[in-house]
Amino acid sequence: MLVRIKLTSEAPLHSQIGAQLRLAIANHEVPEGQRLPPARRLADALSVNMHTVLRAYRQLESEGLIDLRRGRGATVQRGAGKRARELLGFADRVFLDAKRKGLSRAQLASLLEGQL
Amino acid sequence: MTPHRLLRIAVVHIPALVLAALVLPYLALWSRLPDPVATHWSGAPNGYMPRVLELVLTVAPWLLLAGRAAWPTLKHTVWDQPPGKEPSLLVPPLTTLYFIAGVVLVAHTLIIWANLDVKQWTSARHLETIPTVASVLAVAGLLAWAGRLVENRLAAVERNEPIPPPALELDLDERVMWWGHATNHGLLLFSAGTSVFLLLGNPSTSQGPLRYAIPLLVLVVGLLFATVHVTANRSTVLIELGPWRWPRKTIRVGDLRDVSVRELQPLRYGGWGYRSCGSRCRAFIIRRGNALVMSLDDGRTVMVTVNDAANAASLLRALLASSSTNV
Repeated sequence: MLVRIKLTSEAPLHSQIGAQLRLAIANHEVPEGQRLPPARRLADALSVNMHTVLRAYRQLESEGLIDLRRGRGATVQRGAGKRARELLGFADRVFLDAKRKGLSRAQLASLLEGQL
Repeated sequence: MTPHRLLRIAVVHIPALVLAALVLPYLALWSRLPDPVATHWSGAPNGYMPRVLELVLTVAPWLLLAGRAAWPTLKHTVWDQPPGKEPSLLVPPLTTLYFIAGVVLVAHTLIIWANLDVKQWTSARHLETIPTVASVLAVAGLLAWAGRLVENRLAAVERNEPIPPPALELDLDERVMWWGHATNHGLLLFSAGTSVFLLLGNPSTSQGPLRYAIPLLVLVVGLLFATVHVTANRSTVLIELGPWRWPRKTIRVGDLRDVSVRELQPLRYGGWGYRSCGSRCRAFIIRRGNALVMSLDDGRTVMVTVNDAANAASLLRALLASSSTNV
């Protein structure tokens, strides 16, 4: 799979990496049981800090999409494809609702941050 | 003779003849062979197996191999042709197939000859290693050469166009990497099964350190070439073999001249693993299917069968295009 990150994007690098991996899992580009590249390898290839990649991996782990173990790396969990599609579907619905109500992306993000 | 008729003879009629040559003489001479028959030699016979098993273990792999080699060709040539167009060919791996036919035919014939009209396997005729191996290789080499002639004749008609990858545009502020892998589960099972078979082996064969070393070697080699991991970024393409990601090969993106995707058949290049694909061409062949093909500035070519090869080719082509406009 292809991973592309933009340094000038508003979204943090770890979010960009996580979003693409999440989409790839949802689309079965990265099948269940498949091991993701080691964090150091991915970080070197993208010229980012290893902790940026690890933060993305931990986010996916907290969403139940990957299993992250020291020494064994990150593996896509069973059922991750379905779960990723559910999460993305949920996010799509929130964005659509916000758009209908005239909220911008930044306003929505601020609103969610405030609630949390 | 049309190419299609030649193809049909090469992948159907000749393998069928080989099958008949393996089975019919054996059955015709059945009553004149001992049971069990001698099947291993070190000068004198030192291994045996039941007559039926010897025939099954000779015929079944040949059937599977010939069928497996012929199937994509027959499917492509007979069933997958778009209507109204001149049917294209998919040339099967005849060099390898006929080499194996030679090995199997000579080995099987020698087994029949050595066991003919003897009362028990221990009385089978002697087979010295060097003359036996030399005769096997001579016949197999001759058949492989004939297979290569037919392949070359058919290759002139074959159309195996590169598969165009999707276009990709990269921004200057973008960091990008691609990763992919390929696994051949069949090869994993085969090497594991062969290791176990060799380890348990024939109780009449000699013991010693080779009893463990050879099965271990088969397992390790199988593991190495059953998986490949490939990563590509703006500067390098890294190919890593096996679960230990070693051995590995690094190719600088700056050394690339062209990148494409092709459909590969392992037996066209002598099988799976690290193969020669022509003069100055090397291939990491893990499985049949799409392969990333990288042509280098110095005339070398490297191919690797890997999933999602199209996106890898898109990325590398985009990098080549951006470096050529920056020159």
